[in-house]
Formats: sequence, structure tokens, C-alpha cells
Amino acid sequence: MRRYVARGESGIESVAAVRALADWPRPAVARAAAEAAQRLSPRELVAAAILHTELANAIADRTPAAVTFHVERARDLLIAARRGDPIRTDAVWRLWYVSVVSLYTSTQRLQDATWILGDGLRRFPHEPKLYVARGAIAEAATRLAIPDLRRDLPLEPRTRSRVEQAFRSAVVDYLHALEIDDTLASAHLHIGWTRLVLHDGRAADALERAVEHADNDDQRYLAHLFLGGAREQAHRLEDARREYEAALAAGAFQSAYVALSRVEDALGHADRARDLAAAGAQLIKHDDDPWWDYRIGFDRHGLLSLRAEAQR
Amino acid sequence: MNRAVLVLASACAAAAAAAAQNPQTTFRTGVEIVELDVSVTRAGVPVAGLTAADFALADNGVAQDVQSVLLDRLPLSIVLALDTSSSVSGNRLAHLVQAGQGLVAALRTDDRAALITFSHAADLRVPMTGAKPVLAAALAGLKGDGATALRDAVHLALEIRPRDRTRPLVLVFTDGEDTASWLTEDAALETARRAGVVVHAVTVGADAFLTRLVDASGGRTWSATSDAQLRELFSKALEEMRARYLLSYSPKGVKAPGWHDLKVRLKSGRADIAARPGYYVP
Repeated sequence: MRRYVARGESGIESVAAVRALADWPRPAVARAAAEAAQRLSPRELVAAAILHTELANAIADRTPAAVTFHVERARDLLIAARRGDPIRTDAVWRLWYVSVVSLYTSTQRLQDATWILGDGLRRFPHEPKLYVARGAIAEAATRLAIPDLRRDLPLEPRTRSRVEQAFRSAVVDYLHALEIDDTLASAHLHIGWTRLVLHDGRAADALERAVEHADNDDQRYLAHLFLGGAREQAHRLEDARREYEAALAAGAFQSAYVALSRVEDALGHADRARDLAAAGAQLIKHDDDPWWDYRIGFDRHGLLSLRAEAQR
Repeated sequence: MNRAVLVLASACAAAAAAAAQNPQTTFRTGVEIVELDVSVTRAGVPVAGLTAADFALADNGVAQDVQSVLLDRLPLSIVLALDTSSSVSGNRLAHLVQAGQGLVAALRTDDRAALITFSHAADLRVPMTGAKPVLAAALAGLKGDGATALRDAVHLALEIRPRDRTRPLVLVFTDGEDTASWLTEDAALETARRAGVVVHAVTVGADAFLTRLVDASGGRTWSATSDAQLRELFSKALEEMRARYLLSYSPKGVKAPGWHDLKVRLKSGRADIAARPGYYVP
């Protein structure tokens, strides 16, 4: 128990604490967590819950059963924390649901994502980010079900109709989120993306709103990247180039280099295309491209927001 | 060395240097030369001894005169684009490293290679070089992890090809479906068509995109039935490249801008011919 408390108090985002918790036998963790729920302060309980959530994220691709175990422990701890301090705990808890739903979505555990999302919506029916998360589950399910969508092939009419139908429910959720908060950039971004995939000319409108309301560089990057895609679909290559350059200004990530290099090539600027390709292939830090997270349904900013809220 | 020989040697060196600066395909007003890499096989065996007179070539349906045919004269510039996603680990990774090192060892003195690896990110590990130990060492250090951004990696590999008087070739290895690229299949194929570079693929399992890519670039695909086959298939890809003919012609009777469809066949006799299906004129 003492070790567990020490782990919890050792700090959110502490890699050493997460590693130590990972090495601890699960029965002992379960016992300590149950005991902690009775004894620790709300602040300590929130810190311990975040530790379990960080660990769940760290092992998400490898050990599904352990992920569930740590998500459940985190949830139990938040329930206990809420008894002592409902206002502060709820502020963390809303973001916790958003983060855990995206964790499950990104590892294709859509049933688990749906279950935890339902639990979150029961507690926070007016949280717009949870509606965005529900839409993202529908997007991921559609992608899994339709191979041509995964391959980014032009969609045949029958397939397109299936995708439209599947995306409709996602868009309903995104629009509902915007009814609650019409400045929610992530909702505009997802609407723009679903339209982009369908080559719907209205994609650009939604993406321009996403650019306007983006409150972090990841969102700005994605909004400009997707807007570049929309401009390409409209055969406006010069405009696409401007958007990809804006994406690079928001974040020097590989997908924007690739996108810009290809457009320069299409514009006949072979030397510039080559230079961009070379720069994109030699990025020193290249593991943080927001596009890779978006593509699998992971909301990295959700996790960052959760950490920030828990540390306040 | 007497003066006459010295002058002749200098002139040859200068000509070689000038040639090395020329692009493989030149489109300039009044001087248009198209070069086409062509593989000719019968029952999987390269057909040797062909001359310009043996080939019939049509550019947008208009018959052209093949002016020259080169075989195995120009050095190779190979971009190795190797999948190092999480599925490429253990035995598969070990065999891939051996296959890559085998290919590097078989390069000739004036051949060069570059190494790009890709998972969700593509990484230019070694820029184009003739230094075999550098390539071999980079291959030895490969590790598998992450998702697969095949299409983006293909674009990058094609773009970093040298634009000089060598024969560029991209050799792609992958064992899985693309899960992380920004580019669509059509976008990556467009890059391949514009580049006019032969792309060969060695795969474990079928990949529909690679089939389209290889067809669009006039390359070939080899499917490994076991990881242990990788080395043999990499060698075959290299041998195939050396056995290809490089056809040259000056387009006549065809409008310059846009896409040009190319059709190549032997005037007599049957053979399996692989060549890129056309080229762009900007």
C-alpha cells in the first residue's frame, strides 16, 4: 500500500512510476488500489488514476487484458475521488473518458470503446467531446469494414453509399457536439474529414472552420493538411500547396512534407519536390505526426489535456 | 603517357562527366529523347542478344524508330525501400537484412544504392552511395516496429532517385497492408508515372497496391513463399535489372504535352515484355 501511494504521488507522466507499476503483480495492484480508494485524498486518487491510464496507453498495443485491468482501476479510483471532491474530479473525469475512448478506438477495441463511452455519457451527457469521440468510433468501424476505404481508393457507387450511410451517424454526433459548443475544432475537423473521404465539396467549409477554431498546433496541422487534400480534389493545386505549407508551419511532420512534395511534383517543380522529399525522409523527430494518430482514431491531445487538467 | 593519348583520355572523361549530368529522359524543344527500360523474358529467362531492329515501339499509337539499345552498360542507382514495421521482426527481419546485404555485396564498382526504411514513418538511412560497408552496416542495424506507410515511402523513394546518367531502380519490400500513409494509391501511382523509374517489389503475401505500382512502372513482383527466400528474390531483382534493355527514340508525329501511351513488342517471336506503360510530358 505504501509503495502504491508513493507511485501515485510520484507524479503524473512519470515514466519511472509507470514502469514500476507495470512490473507490479496485478493482484497486488488490485488490492492496493482498493485500499487506496478508502484512504487516499481525492487529489492522490486522481494522480493514481492518471498513472493507471498512462500505463494503459503505454501497453495499449501489446497486452489487451492488462489495458482493461488498468482502465478499470483508474475508473474505480475516480469514483472514489469524486466522493471527496466532485467538482475537481469531474473536470478530470470528462477528459479521462475522452482519452480512454480514443485509446480503445485506436487499438480497434470498438466494443470496449463503446462501453466506456456509454458510461461517460451517462455521467456527462452534455460533454461535447464525448460526442466527437462517439463519432470517431463510427468512423473507425467504417474504415475497418470497408477495405477500399482503408486503401484510400476512389469509392464505387455502392461502396460510397455504404460509407455515406455509416458516416451519417458520425456526423450526427459531430453536429450535436457543435450544438453544445460551436467552436469545438475537433468536431469541425472530423466533419471535414468525413466529407473529404467522400469527395464532398463541402469538406473545405468545415475544415476552414477547424482552422479558425483550432486551439493547438496538432489541430491546426491536421486542418491545413486536410484542407490541402480538399483543394487537390478541387484541382486547385496552388491553393493545396499553400495549405500544406501552412500545415508545415504548424508542425514539421512527414505527412505534410509528403503531401507538399507530391503537389510540387504535380505542378512541375521537380527540384522542389525532391528537396521536400529528402527533408521529409530525414526528419530527426518523426514519431509525433498528428496524422498517424488521427488515422487510427487516437486523440493525442485528449491525453495531453487530461494530464494538464490532472496537474492543475 | 604521350600528349595525344592524354588529350583523348581527357576528352573521354569530359564526355563521361557531361553524360552523367544529363537526365535519363530529356524533353526540350527540338531535342526530345525518350528512354525506356524494357525487360524481355521467355519462361522467366531474360532474352539476350536483341538489337534496335528487333523492337517495335508505338508512342500514342504512332510507330517510332528505336534508335539505340543498351544492355547492362550504365551503372545502377538502386533505392532500397524496406518495410520495417512491427510485423518484420525475428526471422523475417534477419532474412531481410541478409537479402539486403546480399544485394549490396553484388553491386558493381560504379553502382550505387540508398536505403529507406519505413514503418509509419519513412526514414532515409543512407543517401545514395557506392560505399558498400555503410549500406551493410545500416542494414545490420534494422529493427521492426510501428505501422506501415508504404505509399508515402514509395513517393519519397521515387523522389530521392538520382537524376543523372545512371539507371535508377526502386526495390520495395513489404509484408503488409498500408495503414498509415497520407497519400492515396492513385496519388502514389501518379508519382511513379511521372518519375518513369522502374519499381520492383518483393513481397510476403499479395498487395494490390504494389501490383498496380509495378505495372505502372514496368517493373516486376516477386512473392516470397517463405522468409528464407528473400535473399534469392533480391538477387533475382538485381539480375533482372541488369538484363533489361534501355531503348532510346526521338518521338515523331505525337503531340508533346500530357500523357503518352507506350506499347513495346518484339517484331518477331513471343516474349514477356515489362516496360512502363507511358510517360508524362509537362
